[in-house]
Amino acid sequence: MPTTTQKRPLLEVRNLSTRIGASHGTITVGRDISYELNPGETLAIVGESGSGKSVNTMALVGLQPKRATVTADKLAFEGRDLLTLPRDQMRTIRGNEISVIFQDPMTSLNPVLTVGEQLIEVYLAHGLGTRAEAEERAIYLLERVGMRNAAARMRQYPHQLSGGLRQRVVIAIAMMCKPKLIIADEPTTALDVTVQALILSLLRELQDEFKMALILITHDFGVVASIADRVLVLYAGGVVESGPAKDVIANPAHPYTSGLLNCIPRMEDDDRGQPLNTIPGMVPSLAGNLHGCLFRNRCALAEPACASDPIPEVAVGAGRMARCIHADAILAETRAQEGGQ
Amino acid sequence: MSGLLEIRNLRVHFPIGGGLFSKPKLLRALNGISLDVQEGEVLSIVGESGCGKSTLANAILGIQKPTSGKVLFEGKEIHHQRRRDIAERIQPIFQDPQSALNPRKTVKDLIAMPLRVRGAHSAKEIGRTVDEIMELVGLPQRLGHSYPTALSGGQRQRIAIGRALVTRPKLIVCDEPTSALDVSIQAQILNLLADLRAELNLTYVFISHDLSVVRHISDRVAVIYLGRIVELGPADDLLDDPLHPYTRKLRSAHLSTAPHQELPKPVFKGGFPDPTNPPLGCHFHPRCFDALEVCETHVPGSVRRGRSDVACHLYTGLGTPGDDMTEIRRTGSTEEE
Repeated sequence: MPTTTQKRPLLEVRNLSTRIGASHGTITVGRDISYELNPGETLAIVGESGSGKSVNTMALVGLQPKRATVTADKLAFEGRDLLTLPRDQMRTIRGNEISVIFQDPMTSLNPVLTVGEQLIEVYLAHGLGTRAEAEERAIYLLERVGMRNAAARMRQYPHQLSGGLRQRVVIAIAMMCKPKLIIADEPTTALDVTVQALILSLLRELQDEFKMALILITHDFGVVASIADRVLVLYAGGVVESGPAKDVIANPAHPYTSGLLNCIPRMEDDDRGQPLNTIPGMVPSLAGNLHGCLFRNRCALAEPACASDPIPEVAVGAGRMARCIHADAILAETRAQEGGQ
Repeated sequence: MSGLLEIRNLRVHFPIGGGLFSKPKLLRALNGISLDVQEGEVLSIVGESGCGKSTLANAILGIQKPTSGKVLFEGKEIHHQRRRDIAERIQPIFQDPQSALNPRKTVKDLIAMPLRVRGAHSAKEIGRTVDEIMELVGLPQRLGHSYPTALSGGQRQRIAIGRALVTRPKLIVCDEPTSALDVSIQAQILNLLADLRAELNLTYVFISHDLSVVRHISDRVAVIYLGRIVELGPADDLLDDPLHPYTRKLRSAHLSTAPHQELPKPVFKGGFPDPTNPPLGCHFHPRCFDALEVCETHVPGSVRRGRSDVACHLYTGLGTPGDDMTEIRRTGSTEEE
């Protein structure tokens, strides 16, 4: 939930860029990404494969690939600069104040440690108290994430649990140190839809209860529509559109967002037998010098001006922006479409 | 009415575990599936992981031998025919084209492989057919000598589709063909599958967990739960107005992209049961909010409702709803999932 009267945001990201050195030159996987996150807020970072949604978000907590160079004008968590933080201090923040949940619970859990050990380990590693206290909190959290017989579950190994239960354990581990921010990278992609809804409701509940902020990395607009307060749409390493999730999904203002939403078959529409909309072409190579709008080679509205730098951020309503010179026209069009339906 | 594909009371059981002193447990992956697929139709199979979808796909492809029951293609039992003859008429498309394609073969070699295996064609004929197929699936000729690793996910899936089509099969078994793809690519592949179906009069058995994709592409849908079909009917009827409590839960768990979507609360009672020790009676009864006393003891038979077939005691008339057993079951000891 966005709070309106706070002094400063929990997280401030200004012009974050990530470059990866390769044998054939530099690849820019993140270009001038800026956003703010308020305490308790849910931000969805959405994009297709190769959009840089994971690498640029993991870079916040220093989990970028070794060869990557991360730069930013500002990267502040509660006013502390994450970029210049020494390694040991970053480790204190990571897991303690910012927790990360990965896509596949099988690979993020240690197969040879019991569930209990993995929960307790986090608490002790951050020096938050005694083993007895850790155990107490672990059992409390396992119950809190909806596992019965928590004391018995503590003695089980990950392979004895179903995928949904494993992801609950991962969430409980992430909660051990009362983080202020959870970064969840496709937390439900490996799960069945029936379990997905449960895990998302759980995240939302925990978030309300413990006043945590959540950054949700996803490719699924269904997930965005049902849980996010705000959304950041990434394409080829850059933000093309951002704003309140419901507004962006209802009336996209960037041709990429609008094209992407139109590709998705909808349960509500009777479109059987009709071809689905597609986005022609492919994501461009991110090697070398990039300039202008990177979507222009796939965009029906592209014109010479789209190749020149910089593409302005166009404000399109309260808290919304789109990086497109045609943003206003597209917004008017998607509004008309919605009105016509 | 007999279809292109007829499945009669198909059972596939796997022995699990077991050692010197312990008897293996029996996993009933498919437990009495009967299904007809008509020529030219798209039949989708949906269900959670572990329900038996992929075992069914393998049985239809002839690569999983049934424990009992029959799979008939054009009226003939496929497990009595030569593997190669079946492979020419029934072809698969798998989820992940990356792992389905040999990285050391070029695009043209990959597509030509089924024809080379058949052995009845000259190199010239093969070359011509491969060119036709590449055109058909939208692969530019210049990619013919590329390796799959140099191509995008969508192009790789086009190769897999091309390879499946090169022997001119009648039936394609698509096992999650777009799950590994981005939505913009998914749309291209779904359009391609629809075009090919119309052009070549193909029949698809389509396995997917994405109900909006299923709705877009299918004529009929079968819902499987623990190796049994619980509901089978036209896609519109089944997805707009599901009959079986399990289908209703699946439907409500689907996250739509409607902007005013709220998170669904589709909480089942209990977790997915141990498939080696499934609940008696209706397999779904421990998780079902509508369960009756009879559901614990008797497997529901299939009942016709409208244009759908549903296997549920709410419709068989064997139990009366509202008895006090429902209350007991609601408080039963189960895990929330």
